[in-house]
Amino acid sequence: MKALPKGAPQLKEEVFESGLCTACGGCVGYCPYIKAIADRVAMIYPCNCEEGQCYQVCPRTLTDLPFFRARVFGERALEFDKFNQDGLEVVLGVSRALYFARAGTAAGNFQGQYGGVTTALVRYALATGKIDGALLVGGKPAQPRPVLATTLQQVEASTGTKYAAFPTLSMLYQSTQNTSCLGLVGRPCQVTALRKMQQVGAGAAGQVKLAIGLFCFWSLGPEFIPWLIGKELGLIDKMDVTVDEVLFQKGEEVIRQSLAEIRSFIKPSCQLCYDPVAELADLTVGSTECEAGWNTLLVRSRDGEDLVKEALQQGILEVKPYPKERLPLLKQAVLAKKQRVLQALKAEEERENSRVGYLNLSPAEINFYLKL
Amino acid sequence: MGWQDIVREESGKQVLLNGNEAMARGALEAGVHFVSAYPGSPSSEVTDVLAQVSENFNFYVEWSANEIVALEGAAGASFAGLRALCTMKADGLNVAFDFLTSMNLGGCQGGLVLVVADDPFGHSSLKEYDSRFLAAAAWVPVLEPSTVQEARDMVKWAFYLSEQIKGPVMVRSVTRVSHSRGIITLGDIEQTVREADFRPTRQFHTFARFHQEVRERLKQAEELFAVSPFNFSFGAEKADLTIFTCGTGWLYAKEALTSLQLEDQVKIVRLGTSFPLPQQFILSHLNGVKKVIFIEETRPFLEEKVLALYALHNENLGQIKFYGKATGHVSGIRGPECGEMNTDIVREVLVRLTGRPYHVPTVSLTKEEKKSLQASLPPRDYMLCPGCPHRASFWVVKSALALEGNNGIVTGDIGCYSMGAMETGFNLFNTLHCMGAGAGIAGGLSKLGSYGFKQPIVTLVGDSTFYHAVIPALINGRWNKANYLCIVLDNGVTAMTGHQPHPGSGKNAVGKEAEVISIEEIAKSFGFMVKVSDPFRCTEAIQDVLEFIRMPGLKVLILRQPCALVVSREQKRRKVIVRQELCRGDACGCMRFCTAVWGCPANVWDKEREAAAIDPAICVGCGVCIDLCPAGAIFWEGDE
Amino acid sequence: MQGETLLKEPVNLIITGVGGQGNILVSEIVAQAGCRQKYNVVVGESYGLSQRGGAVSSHVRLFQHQEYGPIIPAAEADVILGFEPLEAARQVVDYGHKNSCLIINSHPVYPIGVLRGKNKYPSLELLFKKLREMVAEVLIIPATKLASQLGEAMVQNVVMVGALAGSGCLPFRADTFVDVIKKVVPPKARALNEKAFYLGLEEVQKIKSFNLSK
Repeated sequence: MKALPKGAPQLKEEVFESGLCTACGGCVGYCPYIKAIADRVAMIYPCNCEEGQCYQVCPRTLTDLPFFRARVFGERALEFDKFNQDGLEVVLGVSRALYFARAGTAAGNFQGQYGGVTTALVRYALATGKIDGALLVGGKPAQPRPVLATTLQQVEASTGTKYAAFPTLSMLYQSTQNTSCLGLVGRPCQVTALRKMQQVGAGAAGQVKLAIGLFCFWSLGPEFIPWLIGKELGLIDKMDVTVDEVLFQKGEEVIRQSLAEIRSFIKPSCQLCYDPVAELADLTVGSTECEAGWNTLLVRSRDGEDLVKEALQQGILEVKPYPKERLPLLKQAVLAKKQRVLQALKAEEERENSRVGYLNLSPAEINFYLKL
Repeated sequence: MGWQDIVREESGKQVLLNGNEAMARGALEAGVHFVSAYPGSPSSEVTDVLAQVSENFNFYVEWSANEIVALEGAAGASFAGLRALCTMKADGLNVAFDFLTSMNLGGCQGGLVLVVADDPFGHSSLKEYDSRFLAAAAWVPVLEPSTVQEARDMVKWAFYLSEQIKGPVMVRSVTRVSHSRGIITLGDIEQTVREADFRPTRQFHTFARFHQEVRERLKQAEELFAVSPFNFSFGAEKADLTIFTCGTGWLYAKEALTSLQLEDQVKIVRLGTSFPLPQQFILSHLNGVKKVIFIEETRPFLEEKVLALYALHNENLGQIKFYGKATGHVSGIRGPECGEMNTDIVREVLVRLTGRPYHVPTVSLTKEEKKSLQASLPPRDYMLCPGCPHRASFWVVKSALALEGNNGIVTGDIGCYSMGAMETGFNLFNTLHCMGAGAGIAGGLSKLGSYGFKQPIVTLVGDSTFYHAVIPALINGRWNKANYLCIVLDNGVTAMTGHQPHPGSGKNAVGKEAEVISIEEIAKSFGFMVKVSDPFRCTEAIQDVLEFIRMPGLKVLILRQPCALVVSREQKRRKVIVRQELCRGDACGCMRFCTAVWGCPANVWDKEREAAAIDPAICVGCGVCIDLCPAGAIFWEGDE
Repeated sequence: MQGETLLKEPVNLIITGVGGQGNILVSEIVAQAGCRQKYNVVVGESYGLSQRGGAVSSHVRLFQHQEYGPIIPAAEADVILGFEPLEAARQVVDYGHKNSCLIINSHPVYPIGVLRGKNKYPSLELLFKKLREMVAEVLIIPATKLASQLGEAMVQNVVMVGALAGSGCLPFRADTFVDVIKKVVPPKARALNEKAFYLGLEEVQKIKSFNLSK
């Protein structure tokens, strides 16, 4: 891929000022101009660097998705012109297997989200030396903090989904001197940023050997946590989102709020996210939306596949087939999201001074979705 | 230096002093008993010097919390029959003005002298203006020295005048008197001992019916002025063209006149007593004159007064044409009613009116030469000192507001940190006016929610400013439920004016230990959320600012680090070094951050090695750049 | 006041540099030296805000017959003692004339606009060449370098006083300066300042004898 002749001024204009920052953290911490405090990311002083790494690694600047698919998955990468109208399976991205999964009996005792698959896999990878550190969001939902976990205890202390977008990738610019092989658990935008960082050799991105993506249709912006605190929910242990409700768990107590209440905190950049399923990850994990205590697990890369196989053998993981009747629902949800975003991007492109034409897709892919 | 000469040298001896030292000597010679002041350039050294010598002469000196308190204190001493001096800069007179206009009605007992130093051109002020207009509005007589010697003479005589008329007297200095050095002849120091004497029967009241008495006092002053040697003439005895001048204008006019060899054709009338004008003296010099030029700093005060006098007497005086600032004929590069006076301005008017050409004493450079040289010279803007904690505080606030996102507004205030309105302060301030204004404006802005104003508001105030003028604004904010963050930049001293102590310094004017009036205790007692942070620990301080911005109501955050100039004098500094092989320099990820953005003068660029470096001569070892360097290339010596 | 008769009345000297370079100390030294040699003297200087990294200048005027104000008229500075090349050149624009003598510390202090990359600092070589074409005498003194050899770059200002003394621009004897320096600097700094003074004095004498030999 040829170098993009754009830098900090364009990042400021096209991403920060357009409200498209996903708070992935890929640009945070390398230079003194972009900073993050907790879940906030901002360019605090104008930088005139004309060809900046910050622009190159951002998941909301020009992103050549086919290129990265090819880079991560090699010959298995999707070729949309080979699919016809019926090729619906491609909407989930490259996948070797799709399961319902949960932590197995040998995984240890911890309280993960749903089936605890992510925690079980990260623990296992760390315990067996496949990785020597993992970038996670630690803390409770109202006090998220970035964690570079190098011990099992640290991993366990970081279980549970935090719905606030948190710029964990910034850690790849610091404190990675004592590690050589890292795992990352992140939102799809963070996985994309990670791939872009690996491409330009940013920070310690090259150390990341295991990228576990999360199913993510939206995440919440910086106003969410003050709202939580205002509702006296600052000390909740766990948080879960259903079709129309948000459940906050504090000890044994569960407090319910309507989903509409927190919708206003959804980051605007999520509205333009083309990838709710972390297409470039080794593994993607999410909820099942129907069976408590289980996760959906998408196995994508060969490395991911090897890890899952081993975990199954060791009793770290337990899987069962993905229910046939659920598959169209999952695909439909992803499809609808991709179509919405493509249409929005198309509308933007027709507008003057459009700042959001960030995706580079083949015409075949665009046609594929828009004609469905 | 100067202040030592004031004490050591004897009467009759000639010494080199600056104008402020000379005024201090004048007060000493008058046997001053009580001195109070709030510092402000160019006035500060009068009281600085008196504080240093007060123990030798056994009189009282204080730095006050602000100018009105200072003047009230001095008036108290005067009411008790003692001689009192109060000094301030022109801006301070506004603060003291309410009391001045009041107390002048009731008069005073012991000599009460107010030294006010104006700053034409605004060398160290945000605005330049002419305190004579305020004195006239308050009906207070004004003496206006032209030289360092006269500064001494007039302050001394002002005590006598004040006791004659039983009212306050103002001596108006300007930068080029206060901050000039010249040779003066010392006089005797009054040795008489006075006891405080405030009889219960004596009353000093302010009532409108006393206005007549003030008029009488001014008349009495005018009678003394009529025979005062401070008013004199120079040059031709009879002349068609006469220059009326006062203050610094006198020597510029004289130089212009002699350099044009016009001494026998033009007369200069020098007024040392600017208000009330000695009318007969002026009328006698207007008699038979055809053209009058006014030379004064800064506004046309003398000009307006003389024009009014002429209007009353024009039948006897005949036609006179006037050339001054009000008429637009006398003008510097900034225009007629602003900037400093100088010889060139006077000479230009004289050349124009007399047709006498000026032969420069040497060969001038050509216009082209000067233009070409000028074009190659980049401007030099003000810069915060090396290691200045304000730089770190500005960076903290700038970062926090960027991270907060909602277009935060910053209201500024007066002190070294006024440079928050400049490039060296990252152009942080949205407003900058006078002491205490930032907090008041912030309070007003925070009440605009119903009109759609939702931006966070931060005001930055100095420690000395906090005591001087911010406290009422904070009380008002608390009472009226204002919603903003007040950040106090506490460096322990009144830095801008020369490091005078303030109520939080733990020292008084004469360097003795004093109680610390704690900013945080004051703020807490008002019921505010209060925290003290270290601006040198930028990341934590940014978090504190963010946290405070988000909290409702009025909050006070104190960013505390001593003034770098004090630190560099008092402490052995730890050395900071750059490992140049680690420096990213012009590359992405740095773009010369330490030199191009952070902008501490000690962070320099090593052209030969194309890498950052530290100038060891000026680095004070604050270490902030060690934390800010993105490449981790800056270290404490020994830690690398 | 009766010193040796001045060749010109008044003699006008500008001391210029950047806030914090020790302008005021030097104007005090020069003025006191003037007093000791029985001249009348007036100094105009700026402090306060201008001391914060801005351009500063002090005007010193020596005279015998008539009293003068503290500001030198345009194009009438006889000597410009510059602690910084850019500021020295700036004074030449406003106050220099063909017979002016410039004594300049060659060590630049970059303005914030230059550090930020907004402006360009002129090439010293070209700047000094231009100045030499404009005025009678330009003496370039590596004062900061010399002061650093003494272990204290800050005393560049006293090195420059030495250069002024050695330049012969003012009718003051070197020992007059030394006496004044001893009086105005604190006792513990006297030895350092005296050394600095002589370094400057010797440097300017070297330059002058080299110029003569050409």
